[in-house]
Amino acid sequence: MTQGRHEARRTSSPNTRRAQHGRHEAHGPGAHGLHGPHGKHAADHHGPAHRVMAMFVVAALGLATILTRLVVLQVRDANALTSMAVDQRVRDLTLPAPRGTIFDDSGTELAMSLPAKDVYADPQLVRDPAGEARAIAKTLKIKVTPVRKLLATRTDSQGDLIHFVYVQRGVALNVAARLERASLPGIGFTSDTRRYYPAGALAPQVLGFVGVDGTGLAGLERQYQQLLTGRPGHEVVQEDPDGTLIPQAGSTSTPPVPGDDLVLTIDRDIQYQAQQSLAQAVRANGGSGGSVIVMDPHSGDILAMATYPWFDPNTFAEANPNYLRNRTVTDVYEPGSVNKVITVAAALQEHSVGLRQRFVVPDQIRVYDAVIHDAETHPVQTMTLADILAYSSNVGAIKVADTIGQDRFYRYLRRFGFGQPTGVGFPGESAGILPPVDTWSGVSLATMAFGQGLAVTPLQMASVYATIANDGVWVQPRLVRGTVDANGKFQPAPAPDTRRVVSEHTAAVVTRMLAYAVDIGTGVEAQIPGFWVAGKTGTARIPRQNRPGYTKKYVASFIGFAPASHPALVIAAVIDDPATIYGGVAAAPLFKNVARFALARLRIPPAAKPPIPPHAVSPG
Amino acid sequence: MLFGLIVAGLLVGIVTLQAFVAQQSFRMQDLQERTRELQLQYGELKAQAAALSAPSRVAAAAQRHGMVLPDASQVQTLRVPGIDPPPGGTTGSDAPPSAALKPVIGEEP
Repeated sequence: MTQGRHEARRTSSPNTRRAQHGRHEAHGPGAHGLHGPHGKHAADHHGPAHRVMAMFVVAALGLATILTRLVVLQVRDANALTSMAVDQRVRDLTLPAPRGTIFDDSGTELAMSLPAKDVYADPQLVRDPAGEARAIAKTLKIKVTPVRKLLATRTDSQGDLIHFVYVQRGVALNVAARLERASLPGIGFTSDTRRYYPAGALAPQVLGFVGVDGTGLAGLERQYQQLLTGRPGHEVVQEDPDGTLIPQAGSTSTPPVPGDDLVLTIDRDIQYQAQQSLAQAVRANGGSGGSVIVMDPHSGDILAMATYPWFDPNTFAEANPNYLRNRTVTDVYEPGSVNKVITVAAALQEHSVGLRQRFVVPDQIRVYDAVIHDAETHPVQTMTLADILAYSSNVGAIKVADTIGQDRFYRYLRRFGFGQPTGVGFPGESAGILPPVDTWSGVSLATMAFGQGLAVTPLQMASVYATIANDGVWVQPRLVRGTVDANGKFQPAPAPDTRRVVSEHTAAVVTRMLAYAVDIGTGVEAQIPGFWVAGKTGTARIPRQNRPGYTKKYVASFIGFAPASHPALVIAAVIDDPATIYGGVAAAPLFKNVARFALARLRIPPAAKPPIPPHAVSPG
Repeated sequence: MLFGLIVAGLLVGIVTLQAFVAQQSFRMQDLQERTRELQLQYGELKAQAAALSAPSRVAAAAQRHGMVLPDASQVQTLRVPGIDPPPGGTTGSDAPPSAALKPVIGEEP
C-alpha cells in the first residue's frame, strides 16, 4: 500500500514537471525576454512575491471598486434606488367603498352598487384607432365616432401628449371581460362601481341618480350623499414585473367602509300601481303630465310618490331634463277647490260658521272689481257648509271666508303648512307661494278661499288632507324610515314633527263633509265599492308665466282618504292640462284606481259609513 | 460530521419551509381571488334577483299568462279581533321588515 502510494507519487512526478514545464513554456518567450538567461533564477527567488503582491493589488483594487460601488449604491443612491424599487414593485390600490343600498319598506333593493370597470385608453399605444374604436363601440354598445376621436387624439390643446383618457366608465363586469379578451393595444381597465336601479323606472324622481364619479346628482341619492357614500379603503401590495402579486412580500390593507343603507317608506308595489294608473289617466285625459302621492296620515310615511312622465335612472343621461324633477315636491300649482277644505275647517274651528248655518249662494259674486263665478251656472241656492264643499261652490267658499277674515284665514293657511317646506327631506323642495297677509289685495281672501292666488306643492296639499285624516294633527311627511349601518343595525329616522292645526272634533266634522262630497257631490267618481271615501275635487286654472292672469289650461285634482271613518291612506291625484278639465272627471278615477289597489295591498278592511252632515241641498 | 449533518438538515428544513410558505401564499392568493369572484357573482345575482322581482316584470309576466288585477269587489279584507291590528295606521313599528331581512339579503356571503 505504502509502496503503491510511493509509486503513485513517483509516477506523478514527471507529469507535474511536464505541467510546470508546459506552464513555463507558455510564458516562455516572454519570461526569457524579461529575465534573460537568468530569468529562471530570478523567478525562483523574486517572482512569487511579486506575483502575490500583484494579485493582492489587483484583488484590493477589485475589492475597492466593489466597495466603492457598494457605497454608491447603498449610501449615496440608496434613497433614490429604494424609491425606484418601491415604485416598480409596490402598488397602492384604492379599494372603492360600496355606496349604500336604497331599500323600499319591505327590504327590496331599489338602488344598489355593483362592481364595474372603467375602460380607459392610452392613445400613444393605440395602433389602429378606427379598428379599435369599432370593436369597443360594438362591445360597449356606444357610438363609434366619439370613441374613434378619443383614440386618435394624441395631444391636448397645449401640445402635450395624452396618456390617459376614459372611454367609458361603470361598465358591467361581463361586458368589460369581453373587451379585455380582445386585448386591444392601449386599452386598459380599472376597478370601479356602478349604480344600478333593478326596478328600472320605479320612483325615479324620488330616488334620483348618481354621476359617473359616484356623486348623487338628484333626488334622495343627492339628499343623502354623505350617508350613502362610504370611505374608500387602501391596499398596498407588491407585484412582479408582470403584475402578479408577490405572495410573501406582505401587504397592508385598510378595508373600505361601505356607506349606510337607506330604508324608504316607499312600497314598491303601490308605487308601481300608482305610476301605471297615473300614466293611464294622463293618456286617457289627454293631459301633459301628472302626479300621485300615497301617504299614511298617521305616520307621515309616503308609500308612493309618482310624477309622469318619468325616466329610467339607469340611463338618466338620455332622459328629457323636464322629466327629472320630482314635481310633487319641487313644483307648485294653484290648488283650486281642494283648498276649500281649509276654508271650511278654519270656519268650523273658529266657530265663525255653524254646522247648520245656511248661506244664500248665487252662481256668481262681485268682489271689488272682480266677478267670480261658480264652475257651473245655477239658480240661487241655500247651502250649508257641507253643501258648499260637496258641490264645490266658489261663491259659497267666498262667503265662508268672509266670516273668518283674512288675518285668521292666513294663520290657518300657515298652520296647514302653506308658504313653508314640509321638511320631507328632499333637495329643492319648494315652500310654495303664500303672499304675506299685509300684501293681499281686496280679492285675495276671496280667491284663496277657493284655492287661486296662492301656490302649493302636491305634497303640501296632501299634507292638508292628512291633517284632517289624522284627527287635526299635521304630521311631517317623510320618505326615509331609517338607515342601516355596515353591521346591519337599523337606526330609525327621528320622529316626524307634528302640530295640532284643528281640533279632533273639527277634523271629524270636516271628514263627514268630505265623505258627503264623494257620496253625492263632485267626487262620486272616487267611490270605491265596499269602502267609504272622503275627498274633494279641484279644478284650477294655470297662471301665465311671468305676467298676471291665467292661461286657458287647467290642473285637475282629487285628494282624499280612505276608509273615511278610519283613515289609513291619503291619496293626492293631480293631472296637468287634461282635455276634460274637471277634477271629478279626470282625477277622481285615478284616485280610485290607486286607492283600491293600495287598500287591498295593505289589507285594510272597510270601515263604517260616516254620518251625513247637515245639508240644505237635496241630493240628486 | 455531525455539525455538517445538522447544518445540512437545517438548510433542507429552511428551504422546505420556505417552499411550503410560498405554496401556501399562492394558495391563499388563489383563495382570495376565488372569494373576490364569488362576491362579485353574489352581487350580480342579488341584482338579478331584484330585477326579476321588479313589479314591472312580474306584472308583464302575469299579463302574459292572462292574469288581471281583481276588481275591488272581489277582494274582501276582514279584520279578526285580537289578531289583526286596529285600523287607522299601516305602520305599527318604526322597525321595518327590512331590518330583520337585512342579515339575509344585505350581507356579503
